[in-house]
Amino acid sequence: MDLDLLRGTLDLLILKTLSWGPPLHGYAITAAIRRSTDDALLVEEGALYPALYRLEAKGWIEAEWGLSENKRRAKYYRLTPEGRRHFRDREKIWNAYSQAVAKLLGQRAAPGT
Amino acid sequence: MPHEARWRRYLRFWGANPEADVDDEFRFHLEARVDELRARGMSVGEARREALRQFGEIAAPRAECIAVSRAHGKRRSRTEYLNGCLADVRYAFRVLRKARASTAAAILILAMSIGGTTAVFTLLDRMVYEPLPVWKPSQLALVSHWYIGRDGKRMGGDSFRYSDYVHLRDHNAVFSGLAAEARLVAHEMRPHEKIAAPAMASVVSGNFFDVLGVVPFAGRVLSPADDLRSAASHVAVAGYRFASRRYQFPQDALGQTVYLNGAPVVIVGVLPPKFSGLQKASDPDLYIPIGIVPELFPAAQFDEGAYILGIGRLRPRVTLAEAESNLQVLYRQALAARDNGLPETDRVSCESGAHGYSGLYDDERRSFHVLGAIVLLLLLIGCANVACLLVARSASRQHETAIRLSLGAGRLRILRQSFVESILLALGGGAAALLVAQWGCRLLVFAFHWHQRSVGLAPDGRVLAFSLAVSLLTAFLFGLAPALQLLRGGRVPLTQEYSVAPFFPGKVLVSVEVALSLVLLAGAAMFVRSFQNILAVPTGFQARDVAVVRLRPFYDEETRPPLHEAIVLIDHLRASAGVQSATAANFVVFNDARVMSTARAVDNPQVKSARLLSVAPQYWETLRIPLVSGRAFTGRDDEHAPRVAVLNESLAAKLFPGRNPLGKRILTARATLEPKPEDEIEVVGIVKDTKLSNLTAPPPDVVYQPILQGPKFGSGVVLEIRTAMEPPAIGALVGAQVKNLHLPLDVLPATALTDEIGASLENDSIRMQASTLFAALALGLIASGLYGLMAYTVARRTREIGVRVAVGAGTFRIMALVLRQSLQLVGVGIAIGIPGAIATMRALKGLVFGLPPVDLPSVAAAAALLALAGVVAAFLPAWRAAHLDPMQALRVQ
Repeated sequence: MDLDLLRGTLDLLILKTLSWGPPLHGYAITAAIRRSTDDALLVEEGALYPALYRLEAKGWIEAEWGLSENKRRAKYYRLTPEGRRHFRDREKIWNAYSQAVAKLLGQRAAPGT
Repeated sequence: MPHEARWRRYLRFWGANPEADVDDEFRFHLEARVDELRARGMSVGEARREALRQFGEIAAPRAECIAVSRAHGKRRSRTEYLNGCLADVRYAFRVLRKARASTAAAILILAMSIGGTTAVFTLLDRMVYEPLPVWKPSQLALVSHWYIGRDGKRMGGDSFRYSDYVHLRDHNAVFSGLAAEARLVAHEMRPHEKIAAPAMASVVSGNFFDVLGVVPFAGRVLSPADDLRSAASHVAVAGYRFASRRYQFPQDALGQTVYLNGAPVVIVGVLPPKFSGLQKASDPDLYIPIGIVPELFPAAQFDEGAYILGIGRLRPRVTLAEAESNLQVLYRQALAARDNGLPETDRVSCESGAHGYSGLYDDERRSFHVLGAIVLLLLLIGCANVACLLVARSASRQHETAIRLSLGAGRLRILRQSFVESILLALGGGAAALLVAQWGCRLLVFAFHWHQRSVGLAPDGRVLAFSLAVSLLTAFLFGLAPALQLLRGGRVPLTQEYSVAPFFPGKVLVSVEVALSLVLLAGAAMFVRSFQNILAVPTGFQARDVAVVRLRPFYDEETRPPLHEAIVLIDHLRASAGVQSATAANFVVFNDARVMSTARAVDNPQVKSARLLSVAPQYWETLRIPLVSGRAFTGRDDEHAPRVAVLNESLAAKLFPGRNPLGKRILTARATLEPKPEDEIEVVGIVKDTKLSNLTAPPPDVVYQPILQGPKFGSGVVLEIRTAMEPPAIGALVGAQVKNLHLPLDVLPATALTDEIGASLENDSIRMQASTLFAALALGLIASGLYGLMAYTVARRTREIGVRVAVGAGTFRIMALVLRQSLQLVGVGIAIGIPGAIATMRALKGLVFGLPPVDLPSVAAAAALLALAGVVAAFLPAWRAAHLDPMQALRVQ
């Protein structure tokens, strides 16, 4: 899969996952993405973390250290208000884009013939 | 492993540790996966392998995460730092606004001292340092020549003959071009016409603008072809300011005709606005080529005089020294070819021409350096004063600082806060200083009589940069003391009263200020005493009650002085009521009697230098110069009578040692070299020596000639009239006589001879006035600083003084207590300042007259003034202390 496309998609998936509400650690985000995409997008789990760090640097998500369900120290991520705004914008663009692409690819023949 | 993690957590307390964070996060991920897999029934080993497989590559994401995290951390700390600075600035504004009085005082002091420094820098920059606005000015070299004078001293500033310049120009190997500027000025004049604001034209070689790389604003610049004497050389290039002043638009000047020294020239080009001449701030109206010179000036004026200053553009990689030695060889050749026996000591000199030349006299330059030193001293004093103000203020904030420190504010943070305040103050002062500098520049231009020179005074980038740099420097200087004070103040325990300050730099500052002021005051006292000495020098004549009236021919084209008209006029003036005696001369003492000439006895080939002055009958009577022997000139000593002369005593003694000079014959000027019988002059009288142009130099040797037998060039005559009338009244009288007698004369405004002498003391007077003014300012600063400090001390010791009053100390004793403390500070300052004052006095040697190298009365006067300032400044606080109500004082915290 093309890397740029993957990266953009991954960012959107992370934001989407976090937009559901409670702060999540990296492992939980991985699990959520795998579940909702049937393991199609996240082939290597390690690729998630650079994406998380970049989103944090952009100020769309923020992180805090906390304790996990089994009392381990884990880093929890949460959407910032700015991140939420950004996610909504990107979601709209992505929907329009993916519909257009799906429409184009779904045509049997080239238009005009 | 968990142990390591905990340890790292502590590490994180001191700051982010990206590696550890990333490792912790990855580890948690893997452990969570392993747990999940084991819950599904895998063995530990299998679960680990599977977890690692699912995670995929570790090294690359880890590195990327660390890099992102580190960059993000840096950006975040920078943002935090900037926010902190902004907060400091806001806080500082609040503090400065709250303490309005002391802020205003500090800004005023800074504005004056930074403004003074900026004003002197502006003029120095415009006159000396600023590079010429031409192409690559660093390649330019000024070429002139100098020689070793008879007294073994280097005589400088002499320039080349035109033929020597041409030789150097055509044969040198070091310049890509050698241009010339002639020290001749042509004036705009036209027969039977009065021209308002006539133009002045500078004479330059045809390649002048090409060598400098000046591109015309309109039309063309001069070309080498214009150097040839032909009809084509009747052209001129106009300066931008002249062109825009004279015509509606500068480019309208093209094709216009201007009459210079009576001859028409056509303007063929206009220069760009930024160019204002090779000499700083001279800005000639017009530039004319050398080819036209023979038609505008008498031949003798150009061929014989040394009038050419060279300016060359060095070829790449040629140094000034190389250029000098190359030109030296060529110049020797030129001299040998001419073979006129000039001394072997002639040298060519090449100096950097990047800045043009200033045209300042040495005396002016020295005055400038004195001024610069004075303003720098004042700047330091001002800094100390502002530091004092801030220290007193920060002392009252010690409590606040202590709280901030105990709440965990870093010392660096407190320091930064303090410096932000200082910088804000300095910037405020610097901005106000620009106004002060404008005003100061105008004052300086006025003092140096530079109104005619076009000195641009608007602050440019260089001036702004300078004043900004000075402001920041002062901010550091005066910010240091309060910053230290704040830090020290932080050590005082919170519970203690802040009146018990272990360290108070105010006293140190005031002592330093006193020391600096002592230097300034002692210097000023020296200049004042020197000026008095100069004024007390006997001139040998009586200048009081003598009026000076300058006469010019009425028509501009008349180039001979109106001598006969002047003689007729003084005959009539002598008969007027109120005129004791009247005479005429071709010079005014102390104004323009500077031209040197030579004289020798007919029977002795040894030539002495002397001044040749032309005077009418009654000259010595009018100026009250005693006649020693022989006779004075009479009306019969005219151009038809045998030539006669009067010598002053010292010249008579040199020309005729041990003999009676009366009846002997002398030769003057050129005639000393090629004597002809008709040039011989008979000595008919001897007069006492007088000072002529310089009060501090010994009287020069003088040959007086009857005015009708003297030289006929120059265009003016000066009347000197002894009368009790005021100059305007005598001027009106002369004007009325000129009208009655129908004489074709222009009468210029009358002046007093004492003022003419005063004008020659301009530089001494500027130094005296400037140093006195600034010393007074320094004294004011000292007094205000001392007042502030003493008022503060009294306030701090209120309770103690209250106790003293309560146990019966009298008014006098309390006042003495305060005054003694103030005088102690002044005393310490004077003790520190004395070595500096002595060093300064030694440095001023040569600028002061009639004083020993170390003038103790000046130091004593300065010390006395400072002590007086100490008493005056402390008097009010002392009075207040002595009249404290003890009951109230004891209640003060």
